[in-house]
Amino acid sequence: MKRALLGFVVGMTVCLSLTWFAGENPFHVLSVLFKSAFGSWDDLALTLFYTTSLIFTGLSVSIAFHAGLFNIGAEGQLNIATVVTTGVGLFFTFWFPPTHVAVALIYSVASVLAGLLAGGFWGFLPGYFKVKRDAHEVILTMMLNFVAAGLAASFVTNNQNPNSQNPESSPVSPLMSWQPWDPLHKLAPDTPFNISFLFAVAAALILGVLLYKSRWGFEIRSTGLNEEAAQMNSIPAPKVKILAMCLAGLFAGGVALNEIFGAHMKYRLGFSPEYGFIGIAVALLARNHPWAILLSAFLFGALQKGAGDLDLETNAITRDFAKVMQAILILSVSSFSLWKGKKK
Amino acid sequence: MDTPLLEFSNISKAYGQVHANQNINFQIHKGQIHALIGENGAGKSTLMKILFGLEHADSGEIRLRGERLDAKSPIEAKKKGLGMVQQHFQLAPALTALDHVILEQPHSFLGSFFEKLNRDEWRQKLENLSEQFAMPLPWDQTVDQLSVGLQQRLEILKLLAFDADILILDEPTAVLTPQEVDAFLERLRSLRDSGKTIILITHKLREVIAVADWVTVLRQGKVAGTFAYEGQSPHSLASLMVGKAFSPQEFERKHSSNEILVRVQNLSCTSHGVRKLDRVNFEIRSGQILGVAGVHGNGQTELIKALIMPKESGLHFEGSIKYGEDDLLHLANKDIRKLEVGLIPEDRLQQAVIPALSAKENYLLGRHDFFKGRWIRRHRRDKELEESMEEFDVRPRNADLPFASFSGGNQQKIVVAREVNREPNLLVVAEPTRGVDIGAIEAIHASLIATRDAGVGVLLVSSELEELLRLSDRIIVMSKGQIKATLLREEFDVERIGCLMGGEA
Repeated sequence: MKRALLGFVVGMTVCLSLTWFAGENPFHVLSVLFKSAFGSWDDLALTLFYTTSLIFTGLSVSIAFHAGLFNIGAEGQLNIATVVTTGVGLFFTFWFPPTHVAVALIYSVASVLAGLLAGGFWGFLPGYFKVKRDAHEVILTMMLNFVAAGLAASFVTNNQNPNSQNPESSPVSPLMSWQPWDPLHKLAPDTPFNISFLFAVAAALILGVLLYKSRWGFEIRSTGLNEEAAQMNSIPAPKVKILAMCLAGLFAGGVALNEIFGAHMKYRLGFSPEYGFIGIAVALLARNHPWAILLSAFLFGALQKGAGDLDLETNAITRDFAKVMQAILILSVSSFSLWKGKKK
Repeated sequence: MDTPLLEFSNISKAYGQVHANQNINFQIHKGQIHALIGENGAGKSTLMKILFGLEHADSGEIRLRGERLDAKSPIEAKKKGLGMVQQHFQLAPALTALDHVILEQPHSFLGSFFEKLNRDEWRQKLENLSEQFAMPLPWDQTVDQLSVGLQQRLEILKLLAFDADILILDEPTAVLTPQEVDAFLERLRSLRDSGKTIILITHKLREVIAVADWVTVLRQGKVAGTFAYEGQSPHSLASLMVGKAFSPQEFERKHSSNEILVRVQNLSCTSHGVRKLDRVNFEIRSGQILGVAGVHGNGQTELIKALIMPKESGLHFEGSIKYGEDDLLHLANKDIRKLEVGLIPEDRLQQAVIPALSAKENYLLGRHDFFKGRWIRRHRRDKELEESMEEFDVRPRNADLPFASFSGGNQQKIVVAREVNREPNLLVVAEPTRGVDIGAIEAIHASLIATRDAGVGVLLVSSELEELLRLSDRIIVMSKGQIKATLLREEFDVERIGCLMGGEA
């Protein structure tokens, strides 16, 4: 932990010196970053909104990692989940318009479940073909990202919101929104921050327990660390791998909670600043431990939030700088925490 | 006295807390076969790695012909006339024997693009070499067509081709049949007589007795003794290795029950056009140990897979394996293990355990009795593991350590405990003492015998003939996927089994 922190400091220093080369004052950049991420109550809430999605994708990537698989498909899985959630929500909105809040709540829960299942299915596909046909999961998940993006685009084209210039779907019935009863939303009503944050934290805590204390977690980790031994000792490794990929998709689908009913009520094309890929970084930084993911997701959430304002507040630095920072931080933190001291 | 060829002085090397080598001092003289013996983890390999430039000593120095040798890499070591045959051969199956030698010749990186491979010249040179040392080899065959013995010959000739005069051989006989071993040892003698110096790393005392001129015994990273071999008894060597008086115990033979537990009928398996198992028939009886003798790779691996994981192995089996009401060939590994079948597989770190997990977690593998639904029966597991570690004297006695941090012998003790304590009906064991020190071998053998006496049917596959002779009630000999003979205990005969292993009738 000490080393990881040291790595973080070194990484930050390198990042900031880069801004100096770009002609900015690094201290100014740092203060913009900091203010933007934690400067006010609303800023912090927005950071936590990003954090929520990143917890979900981080968990998605990490659970696949534990089973020895590399899930690059969280982006596609969360897209599919969000599209399906919206789609089912719209279906209810148009065909069975809710009249009562209680009915609307049931609708929203049903939509979210459908979305999670769809995400799970999007994870199942590469898992299944990996096991049965020995197709590489990295290729499959990456390709499925494109398929998901295509489906999402087609969904938006067919359900374009008539009242908007942006590429986004029609909104679901406002009755279905969780905001009226959401305590977290009340804390920061001007931001999309919502109760999904609690769900994400709970998911991470529970996954941490299951992974390290239950039979199921033991089977996943065994399969990931030594498939042959697992298979010789009563662990059905192929099934475990498919299951892990399904769960990975399901967790990625959690983003739909945060995006649709928690906040925006509609599918906005390109809503995700690549949550799925940042999720890989989140999982890497946390070394795949679900509890540590809470922390690393928060860190990347802050970076994501801060980088947006850097774009506005400085001349030379663009939004993409967030990715540069992510890369440098991952490299420095992981190399510092893996460092075993001087080699003789 | 003349300067020794090689002199180790005060070599120390530590990995973290573990002192692999501590103040190693001894000399190796020219033209001798120098046996370096010791239990696993005694520091033999580390020392040789330092000599060969693969590792660097923390302190101390090695002198070669009186000059300081400080090999930074194997390439440097090779230039100084050292050559090493690793326990696992470093060969590429698709290349011919000839090309392997050409591959080794020194060349510059850029030059390698334009250089012509002088195959004819090399072939001539190598054939002369083969003749000189009486080690013929089909130079134009690819390595995957060579037998293991010939592969080893290639490794040695490769060293000779580049004028190595100190040959380091790491457990060279592990892969050979008894007959091959004798011939091999004979060849070592003739190499010595032609002026080469040989460092033989081994834990088989028989080999030491047969060829060694000088013996150095390592124990726990220190030199326990270095002396001319003459006049030593194998038992005194063994005692030096273990550090206490050593006498192998003879096991009493009880025959409590001998009902047929498993009946294997017409078991066949073809993989990639090769007949791995050819109409194999035998029975495993409860309360008996059935030994399977054979040179590695003659169908034993497939036989074990048929018993343990017929579905998951990816192999196609014919025939049947009757175990009570069930035919094991139609069951998944999970269900087979539930029928109280224990397994000690041949490759410990690949198949038996997950090295990165703790001993505690590894103790769960294959043990359905430690699970209750979705949860782990932690207390029951911890209690049994603690008792097992006590009983088998596993050190260090800390079950939370990662499995990889135990030494080979202690690792295997935990695996054996896990499989024996599940109270199996059938126990499938392969190479239970590979890479395990003498003390642990005794404990493991005793445990297998006790298991047998409790009425368990044991199938024991081993390439150590002595182990089979010591433990088995019956032995079947396998060669090329066929069972060549079934021998009862009264009929055990090393010569005969050796012949059968080699495929002779």
